[in-house]
Amino acid sequence: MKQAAMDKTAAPLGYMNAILRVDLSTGTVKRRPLAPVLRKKYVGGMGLGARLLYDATAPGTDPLGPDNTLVFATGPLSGTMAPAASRIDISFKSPVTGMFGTSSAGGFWGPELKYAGYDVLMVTGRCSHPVYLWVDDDRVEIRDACHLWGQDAFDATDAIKRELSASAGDQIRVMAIGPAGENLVKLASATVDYHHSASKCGIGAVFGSKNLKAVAVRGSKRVNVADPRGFEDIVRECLRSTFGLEASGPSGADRDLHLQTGDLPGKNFQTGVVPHWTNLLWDVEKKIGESKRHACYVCDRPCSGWKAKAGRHAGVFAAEIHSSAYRGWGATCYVDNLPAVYEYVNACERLGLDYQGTAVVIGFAMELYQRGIINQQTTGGMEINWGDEDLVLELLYKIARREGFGDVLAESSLGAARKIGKSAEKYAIQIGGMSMGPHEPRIGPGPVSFDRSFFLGYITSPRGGDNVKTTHLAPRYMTPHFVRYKDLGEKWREGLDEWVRDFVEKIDMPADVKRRIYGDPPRMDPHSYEGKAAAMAFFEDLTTVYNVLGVCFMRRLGPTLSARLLSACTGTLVDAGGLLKLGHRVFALMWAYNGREKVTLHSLDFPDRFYTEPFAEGPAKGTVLSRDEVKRAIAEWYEIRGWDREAGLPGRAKLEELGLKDVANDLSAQSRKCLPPSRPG
Amino acid sequence: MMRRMLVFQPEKCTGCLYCENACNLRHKGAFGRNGSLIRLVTNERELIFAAMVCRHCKRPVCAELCHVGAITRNEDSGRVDIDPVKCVGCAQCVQCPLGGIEMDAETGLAVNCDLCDGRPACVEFCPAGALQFLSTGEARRAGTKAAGPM
Repeated sequence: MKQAAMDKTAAPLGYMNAILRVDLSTGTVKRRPLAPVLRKKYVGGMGLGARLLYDATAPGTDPLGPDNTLVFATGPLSGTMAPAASRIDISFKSPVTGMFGTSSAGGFWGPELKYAGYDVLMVTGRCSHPVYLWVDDDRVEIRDACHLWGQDAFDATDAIKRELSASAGDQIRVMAIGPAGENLVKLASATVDYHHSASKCGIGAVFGSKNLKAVAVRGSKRVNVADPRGFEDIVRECLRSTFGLEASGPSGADRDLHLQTGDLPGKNFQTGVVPHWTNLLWDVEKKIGESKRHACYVCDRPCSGWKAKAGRHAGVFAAEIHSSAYRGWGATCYVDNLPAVYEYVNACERLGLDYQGTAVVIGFAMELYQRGIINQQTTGGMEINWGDEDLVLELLYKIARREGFGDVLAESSLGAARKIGKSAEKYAIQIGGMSMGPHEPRIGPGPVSFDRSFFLGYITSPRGGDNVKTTHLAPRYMTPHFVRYKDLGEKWREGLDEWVRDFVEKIDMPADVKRRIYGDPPRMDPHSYEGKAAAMAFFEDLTTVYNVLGVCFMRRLGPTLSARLLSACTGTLVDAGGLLKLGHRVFALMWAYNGREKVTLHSLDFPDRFYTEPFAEGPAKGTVLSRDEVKRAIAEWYEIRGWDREAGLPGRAKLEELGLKDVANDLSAQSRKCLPPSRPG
Repeated sequence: MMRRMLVFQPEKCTGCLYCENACNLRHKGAFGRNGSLIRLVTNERELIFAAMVCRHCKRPVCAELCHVGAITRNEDSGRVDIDPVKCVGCAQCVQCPLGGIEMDAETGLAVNCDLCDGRPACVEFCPAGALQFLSTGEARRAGTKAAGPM
């Protein structure tokens, strides 16, 4: 079987063996083979992205200048039948943080790029007028997009599909920016096939800075794997397996717990509770809304989109809706009306805005208004009051078009705070320049759905601001409440020890890591800091592995099945330990990129609010984050990682151990030079 | 042998394309969309999905259109087969109003779903249960009248 597959193609199995480089300044298109050393060391996705970006951009590169490069990288599993192998990982230098920018999207775009015959697409330069890129197998065109400039992402996608193929538009996949990206809004995202998006790090603004409206792809090639039969069997196993992790229900079901325990970022992280929280409950959503499950490429556990059945927002469909939307708009901005939340998410998809970040920025503006730091004079006559449904929508459009006060907020929270001056920066809920995700890090007493490692991952993230690239998965493994509270109600503690023992035994995690995280006998205490540093290191590496392979991390395949899939795909045997080491290598490389830009882990910390202001009301009243505990946990994390605590980066020894000697040399040379820190704002 | 048929329920479909990939893996030993014997037509904006696949009709239009007699229906299994030796690749049969026939890009000949010899890969891997392989009675009981037997 293996031999048969080999004969069909010269490309290494699981790869298309091609990097497509497009320079928009000169209009040149080059196709190069993927160097074996890159493939072996960085495998794909975020790994290839990190390395290629590291090599393509010099330190101090202007993120919105022509030298910044967008690296779209697929993984070896992209385009195969591995569950949820849908992701496209995009690396670039972030205009929001000046750090390593990484953003990924689901949908069908990534696999299609692979079918077109490319593992990686790199776009650099800047065109003198708006263009879009059309990759149709071997034919690559830079096409005029003047007529599309100004259109929202949905309409632009429609128009591109229509003009490229009148009859089979559904075979063309489009990643497009909306007005926000065109106007270089720091919160701009790239919308993929209407209902998916790459949102973070200001990716839309990087598109906009290159005058690149969209990238359309279509492919007719096939992806060969080393052992098709074996691969099929492993996929079958994946589809059946549950790892004891699937009891948490459909997306949104865990929300009730946040609402009941007062663990919400209410009023820009001031209160912890929302007065009419019952309006946001899951049961209410089922009554007022209609759900539509729609999958990304080969996903067996699709997320749901929601549509309001009646009222003034009737028929508005929010496809990419996760619980962060309720926390963001519902709590941070205080809008306790689900259909309005659908409206905002829909507007963000069209305008090309990151809905989480934008919600936090608008919440920030509302607090400034509440405190009198801004007033109607500053805002151009707008009263930015808590929970004003229509105002939020108006602000979204203003931000995307940079109109009036929207122009200030378009700089994201830190940039806006600096423009506003006074004490505004104190209320900007951001880490490293990027708006924090709408999760409340103080964690109240009682049953909670997030654990400590979940939040600690915010301040080790190579892109700053959130934990999606680090510990977002942790609560599924680290809190019994997350899984049990909903089903068992008040009785969730019954038989807990046994349940934890059973759970810990079942999950796919190396034995020594298990012991470090859960102890022996295993315990699960989301409030304690014990074992959380070990958990951070594990989830950081694991999440990076998913991003490297091109599978959605929410699918939670686990390291062993991932390794087996990769082995069957490429024909090179890898085990779970090897994969996790690969995760560590890529994670360290991203931080080394930051180090080269003079940004270290010391630049990331929670805003003071969480350390100094206890929750003012609700069941979690009085809770505050302990600075000492956080510091202790991070110190332990450095030890587990073997990184240089003083430098706030992976040290030379670690980099060399991970096979990144050249990067270590770069960093040493860099630290001898005296470059100003390249942080925008 | 009991006659069974492929049944597609659009309201259950999530548009994940497992069907096309499983089909390609089974028939071509590789992954991709092109060349799959089942094709999911999608409207991504409105999230509407429809599977186009040979329905092995009782009175196949494609067989009537075929002037070399390459398309026949096996009355025992209820399967419509295309004989690759007789087929001349004229593509008349592609006029099938249900989009059940594809022209193979490599051989240039007409191909249709072969029901994977009684164990269709698309059905096995459909995670949403939108594709099923049912007997006529089961299909009726499952209330799949709207989708119709395929």
